[in-house]
Amino acid sequence: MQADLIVACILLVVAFGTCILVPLFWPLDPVRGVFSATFKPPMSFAGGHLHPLGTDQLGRDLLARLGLGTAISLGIVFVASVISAVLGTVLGMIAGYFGGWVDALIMRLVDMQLAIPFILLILLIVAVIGPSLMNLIVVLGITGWAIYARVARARTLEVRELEYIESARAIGQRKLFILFRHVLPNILVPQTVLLTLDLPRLIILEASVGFLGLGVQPPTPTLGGLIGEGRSFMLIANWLVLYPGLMIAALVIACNLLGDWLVRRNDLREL
Amino acid sequence: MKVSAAFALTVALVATAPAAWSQEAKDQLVIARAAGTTAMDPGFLRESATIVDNIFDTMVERDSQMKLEPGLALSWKSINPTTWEFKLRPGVKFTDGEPVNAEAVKFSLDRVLNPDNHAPTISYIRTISKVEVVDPMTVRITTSGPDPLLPTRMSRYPAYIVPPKYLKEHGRDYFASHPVGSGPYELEKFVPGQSVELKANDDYWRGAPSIKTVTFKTIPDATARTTALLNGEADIIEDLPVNLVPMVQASPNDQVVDVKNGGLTIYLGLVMSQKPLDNLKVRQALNMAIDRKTIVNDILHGMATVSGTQVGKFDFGYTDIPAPKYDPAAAKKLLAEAGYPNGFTITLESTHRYLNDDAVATAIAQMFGDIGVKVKQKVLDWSVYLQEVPRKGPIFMLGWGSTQTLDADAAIYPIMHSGEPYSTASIPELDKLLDKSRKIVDPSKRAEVLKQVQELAAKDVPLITLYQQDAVYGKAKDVVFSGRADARIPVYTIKKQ
Repeated sequence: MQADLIVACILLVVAFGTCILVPLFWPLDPVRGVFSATFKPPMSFAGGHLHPLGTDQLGRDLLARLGLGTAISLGIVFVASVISAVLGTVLGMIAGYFGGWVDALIMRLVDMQLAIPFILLILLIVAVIGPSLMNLIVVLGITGWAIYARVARARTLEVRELEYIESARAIGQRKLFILFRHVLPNILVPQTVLLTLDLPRLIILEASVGFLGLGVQPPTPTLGGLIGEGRSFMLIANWLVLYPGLMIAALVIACNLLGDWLVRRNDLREL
Repeated sequence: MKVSAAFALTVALVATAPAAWSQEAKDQLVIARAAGTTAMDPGFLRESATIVDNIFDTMVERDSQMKLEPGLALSWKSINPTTWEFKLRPGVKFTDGEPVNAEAVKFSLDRVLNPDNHAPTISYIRTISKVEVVDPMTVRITTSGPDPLLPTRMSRYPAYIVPPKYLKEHGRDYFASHPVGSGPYELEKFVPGQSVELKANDDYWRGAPSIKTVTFKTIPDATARTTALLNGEADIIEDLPVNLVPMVQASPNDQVVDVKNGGLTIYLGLVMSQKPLDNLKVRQALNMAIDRKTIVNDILHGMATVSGTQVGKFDFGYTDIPAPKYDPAAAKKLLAEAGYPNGFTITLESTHRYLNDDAVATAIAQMFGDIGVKVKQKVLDWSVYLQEVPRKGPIFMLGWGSTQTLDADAAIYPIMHSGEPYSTASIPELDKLLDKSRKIVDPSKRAEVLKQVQELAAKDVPLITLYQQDAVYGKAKDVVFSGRADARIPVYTIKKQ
């Protein structure tokens, strides 16, 4: 049964189609307001243009904003999760391979990181250093490493007892070389699958920060920012919240289905 | 015959029952507000006076056109530049039976003036140096210097008149939750922070109020407050957000009350100590780059008035100064003359507190962009915003008003005179004029200086005035209420049809 894969693919094609094609080819400006065309409902014409998803409180085309917003949100989420994955994998491998006090130190850091509520930590950091695109990526990136470190450590503990690692050690290869040449390729697949499963969390997290107004600053759109701005107009212009909400839902469902499929395919039930 | 009599009786009962029911609903009123009430001692308020205003009276009051009119005082006159005499209205009693006399006035003012009591709004009556009882119905108030605003000061908190005997017996803490005054209503039930229920004082000196019970409910969330109005839970709601106005307009039973010039005047503060805002031409260019009419019509849906001065229309000293003409081409030319032919990059801070403020800030950023000034927007939560504004900026959005003094001084001095906590302007000539205005007693001469202040401000742009917000209420159609420029809700004047 590949039904979940098909659904995931359809949702991803829609989402990626929107965030690639709209910013490239849709002629309307996502940032510049047209003050005479505020709150036009979906499928209406204003100023000689069709607005398939309507316009917002400043007369900006919602489709244009949704396309760019999705692209920016996904960009933030991808870069941030790659930072998390690299940081967590390297630290997890080191902890698992070297053991002893290094292991203890890194794993206590993991415990600390997991014990602090993510959203609170992120709000605190953003409030102190100020909201901007770069800050958000860095903060989301360095706060998400703990789960990657745990999984990487567990796999490394398994792998390091295998014969080929032992023989590599026996012929005198250096520890770091063994780690990256022999251990890393063997834990790469589960880490990639983990990344797929962690993406929905980051998508929601980015949207929450944007919703609270601490993400990327206006007029640049993000998925959470669109909902945050649209919230106060929800009763008179529900499309401002509806479509960005649907986009977030589609992305999260697609990532979860894809992740589940990858887990089954690679027989990684422990994830 | 018997049958028809019984039938007639039934018909009569059925016919009168709804009438009696609606009669009952007609003398009850529910007002929903955003902020809760925790204490009701009118001399020591830390919140708006909307509720206590219905329990207490002042010597001087304001009519619906904001003109001063007699309240507990029948008349007042200035004996010499520093002395005012007030003749009290005879026969008025507090609801506990005490008479309203000169002793009560002296007691009410003295307890606020006593520095040991740390009254939060003592500054409103600080000019008073002495309150004397001349005879039971005559009070003489001496000020430390000439104070033309004294009768105005007697028309608002903390100058409400309180019963001395009751307060001495029970103490201030008890009084704050069990207030007794001479006003049209007396306290029935008080749940701190949530609701206040008042019942009519049928012996009120102006006559018995037509609304017999009024409940002030606290509903902080604007959407919930509006919903309360729409489903009939509330008869009047304060602070109706502009986005929800169409909902109320669409409702068959409700109406929007739009009080023109009833709200704060929104402006862009300019931190003049930072480049390039120290340059007059740059400030003038920014001032001309804003299309205020479009902002008011399309983003605020007409719920504000474009203005060229910070002084409100009902304030003493108001001068009708037209808003600067929207002229991006001239603005660009000014920037080039100032040495910025390619513009510059600057941060604009704003928050979520005023009518559609984030949309307005984004629109202004776009208009500045049109003359080549790149704007980095920073939209902050109010609690964070208060710590950054007014020092950081260099451009920040803020609302200011004369808050019930209805005098130009409170509307401009604190935000335009250099060195004041909320001022980021520094124009020596303007400082001189502002200082001068505070030393003049003669109203017409004072108005002349205040006019010069506003004209100079329009020319030298210590800040960019945008528009004055309306005060927007929602009300049920059967309630007769038109809103007031001083934001009071005198329930005594409200009727239900």
